[in-house]
Amino acid sequence: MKTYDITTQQHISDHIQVAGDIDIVYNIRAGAQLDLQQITTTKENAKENAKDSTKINITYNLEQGATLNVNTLDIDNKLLHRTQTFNLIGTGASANATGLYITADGEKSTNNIKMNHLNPNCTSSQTYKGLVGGVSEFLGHIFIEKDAQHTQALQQNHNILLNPSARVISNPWLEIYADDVKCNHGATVGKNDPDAIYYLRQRGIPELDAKKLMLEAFIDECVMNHPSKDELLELISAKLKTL
Amino acid sequence: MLKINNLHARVEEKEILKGINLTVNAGEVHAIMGPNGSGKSTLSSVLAGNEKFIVTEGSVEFEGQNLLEQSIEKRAAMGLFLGFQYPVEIPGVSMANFLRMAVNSQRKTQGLEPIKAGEFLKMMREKAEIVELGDKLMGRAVNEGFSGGEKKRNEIFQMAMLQPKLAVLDETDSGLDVDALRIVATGVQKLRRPDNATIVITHYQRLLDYIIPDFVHVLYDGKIIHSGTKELALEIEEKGYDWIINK
Repeated sequence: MKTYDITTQQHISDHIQVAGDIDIVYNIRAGAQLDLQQITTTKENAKENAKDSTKINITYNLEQGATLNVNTLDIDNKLLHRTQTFNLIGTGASANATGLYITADGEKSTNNIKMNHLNPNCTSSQTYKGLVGGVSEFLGHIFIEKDAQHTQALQQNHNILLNPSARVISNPWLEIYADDVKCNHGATVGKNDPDAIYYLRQRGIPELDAKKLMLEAFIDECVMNHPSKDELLELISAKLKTL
Repeated sequence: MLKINNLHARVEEKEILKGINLTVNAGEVHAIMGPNGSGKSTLSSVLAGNEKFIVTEGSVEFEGQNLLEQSIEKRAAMGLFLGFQYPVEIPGVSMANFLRMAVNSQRKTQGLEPIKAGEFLKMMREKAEIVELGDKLMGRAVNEGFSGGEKKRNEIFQMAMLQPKLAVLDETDSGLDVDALRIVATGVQKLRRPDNATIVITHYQRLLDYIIPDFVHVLYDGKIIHSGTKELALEIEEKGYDWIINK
């Protein structure tokens, strides 16, 4: 297990090529800020051998007034099980989590989120989107402790199914023991909007381009602020071609 | 330019078009009127290639080619434009990006180079003026959060950008107040040229005060049952459709 102490403002941008299980803990100290961007792909030979899920476990401990912005992009993996545990330990801490997962037929991804509000005046948001050709799971747990008054916790999970055999499991779970909180969640599973595709085609845009444009628009909010956006879009584009 | 011959079409099991005949020449404006459910919107959808509708009989020739054999995007590149009755909102796709793709896709099909960035921006500005559409809408997503009037003006703006040979405007006047109606209609009028043509589908005569049609057709129960000149629209306004239907 790796442990990082974040004491100032730090920016980490990773491209993880998964070879085995990963365990990381980030301790974000009082007033510090972590901006973490993580692209995850699996090497071809590791994919072939994958029988069990590769597990990525990341724990974030946020002290008083700490800020976390995390963006995970699971682009090309066989069986990936990601658990992120957010412990909002100090008052006034803030966690903003976004993520995108893409699976092709025969691939499975799981995103398991545990958002633990343990003290008052903390805010959290989760926005996870999926382009799903295989199986994708989103398990979003928001836990709000009895003392964690004035919590704001938001959760959004949106999925587009890319073929008839694709499957999405979206499981929001809100466990709230405080009474003065603001909490909301939303989940959707759908297909590319056929009316929009028709509209784009009527303006002369070929069908495949129209579909690609719609998918890019769908994921835009997950990738727009990424520092290596071009590299990322290339990875995504290459993946979409296989779907 | 357009020759529709004995066109029959159905949606699911319901036959909606039951033998349409219509010829449109360059430079002409045709108005198609008719009560609700007579098949007006179906006709425009079938011309555009909407896959919900199935042509069961008849033919459509556009610019000397069999239109019904072409894909939706090919029809657009051949110069067919549909002004949607209900323009679709496309979150995440900016107007500028969308139009650049549309213009360049059509140019590619026509064997032309992509448009230069500067030229494209200049064109956007000029054409937006035709329908008094402000710059701020250009940075937004396609139709997202546009008012009803803005959506319809945006259709005419796109028509101006794409410069079609034949524009089919499906109830472009529905849901517009008087000012928006004037802007939309004046825009269409400005885009009239001797080498293009327009089919205006409408419920009301009021649009035809601005867009003066050469021919007016009445569509009823899937057929054109009566045709005339612009005076016919006034007569329909005054007397309704019954006198034609019962003839």
